[in-house]
Amino acid sequence: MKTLPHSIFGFIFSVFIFSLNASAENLAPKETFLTSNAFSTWQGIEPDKWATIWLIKRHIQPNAYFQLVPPNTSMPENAIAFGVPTAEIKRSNRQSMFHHMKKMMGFSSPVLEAMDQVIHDLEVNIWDAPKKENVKWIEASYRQLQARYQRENVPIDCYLTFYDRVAELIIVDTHTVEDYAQHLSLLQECQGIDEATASPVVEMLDHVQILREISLGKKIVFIDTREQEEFDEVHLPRGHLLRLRDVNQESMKQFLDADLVVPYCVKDFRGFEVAKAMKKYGIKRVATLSPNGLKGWLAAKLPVVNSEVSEEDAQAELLHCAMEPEQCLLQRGAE
Amino acid sequence: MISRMSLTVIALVAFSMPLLIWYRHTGDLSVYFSPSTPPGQWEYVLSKLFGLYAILLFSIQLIISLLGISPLTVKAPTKKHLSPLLARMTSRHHKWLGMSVLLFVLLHLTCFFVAVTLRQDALAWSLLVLQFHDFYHTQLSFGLMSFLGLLLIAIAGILRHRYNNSWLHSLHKLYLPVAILVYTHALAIGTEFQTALGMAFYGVLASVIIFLLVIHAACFVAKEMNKNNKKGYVS
Repeated sequence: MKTLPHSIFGFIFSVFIFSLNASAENLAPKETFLTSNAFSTWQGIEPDKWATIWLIKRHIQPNAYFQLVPPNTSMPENAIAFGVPTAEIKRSNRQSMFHHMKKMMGFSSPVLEAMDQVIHDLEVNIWDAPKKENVKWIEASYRQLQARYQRENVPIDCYLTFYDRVAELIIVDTHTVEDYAQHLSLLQECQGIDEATASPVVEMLDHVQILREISLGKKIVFIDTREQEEFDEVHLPRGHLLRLRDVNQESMKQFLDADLVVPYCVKDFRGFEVAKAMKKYGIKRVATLSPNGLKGWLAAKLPVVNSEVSEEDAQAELLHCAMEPEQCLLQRGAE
Repeated sequence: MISRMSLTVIALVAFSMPLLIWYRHTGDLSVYFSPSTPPGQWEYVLSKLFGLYAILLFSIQLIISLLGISPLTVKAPTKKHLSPLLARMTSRHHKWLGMSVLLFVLLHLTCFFVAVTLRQDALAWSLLVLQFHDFYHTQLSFGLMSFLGLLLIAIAGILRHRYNNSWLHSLHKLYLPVAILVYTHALAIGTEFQTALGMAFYGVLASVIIFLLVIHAACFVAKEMNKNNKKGYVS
């Protein structure tokens, strides 16, 4: 008699586990992922999330761009969501998001299988020892990279390069811990945030740095400090018109929650003056563009809003470029 | 009668206004000498200051000149109401004030040229070429045209006394279209000019100029009509 409740409980538990697995395996058709190149997820630092982004970018949609929104906020409507409770692609109790994505796409190459195992050991396999020793080497390098960027500010292209290197390393069993440390350090490519730099009057960020900030899903606002007529002719995506004479306590309220405000004009003479004034009004992070202003932005062939390009198109193009800034700038420069 | 004291106070207020308007937005000047400040920024803000003074001096020149030829002042009964200083304005004063306008415009232009040259690390020759392909360059070109116009007016003004040529006298009267260009340039891209204080101050100056021009034009028309009437009576 005593065994019956246990049997019933065991049966219910098995059904529950089975249903959990079934729901995890019952994924959206892979065609969904081929129809759009806009993806969205919450900001985060987990290896699984970034490995999945790498998988999408390198094996599913090379043109993909990602909108990283703050945790627990709703996803943009125009993008395919993943890694959030409402999305179909997400991590379950027993399998990583990377695994779900790989399985849905029907990928089975040795590299991806090995990568799947690494991500599984890093994120899902909490109790058992990892199958291979390289997992802890990868994790150590991953955490070092994040440490250089105050954990949450690692640019997307650094994560992509990191996983590119991991993919190269894991298929060769003879690599040592030194090989992993050397190849995954990315000391040249991703030098991190230099906190020792003396604080300038107004910070100057180059296009790669601006694009990296955008790729992290931060709230970045471009402030067009020129006149209305100039703004109407051409302006940067996400641009707000604000002249030096309009900078006051009241007008600053709308920018208090911005992670980064970038005032600009033609050559950043007016941009610098507005940046200086905004800092005075307590905007936490203000920077100007390098090379200076709209002129530099146009010379780099970065997206702008004008009579031919809508705000939405320019924003999507900018997000797309932000995924791999250096590559994007090189391509645009060559065009 | 406007006393010497009142006139001195008016002059002091007028000459300190551009500095005040400029300083309200420029603030701490030490910032411009920091190594982290982008090259050319100090020259740029100086250029704005010179621009504000150039418009003030040009406006004063116009007001005094228009007062000098205005029916309000040229007739003896009204002339005594003006300060002796204004009444004593001679062509020599007019010439020196005109030269000051030209000097400040030149400083404005030079500082901006240097600022852009330093910023782009190459001589900004393109600033000296008239361009109308967009709003910003059109307004810069209006500024350049104003300078060239002022230069022409100044040359005509100097030569008209030497050669007493009616053509040179007419050329000197180009001040009106040049004034329109100057004010358009300042209104369109002059950041400080468009502040509340800037608009109030320069608005008063512009209003006085317009008022004097209207009086001048009305008297001219009346005089012409009178002349025609007399001709009709004779015939």
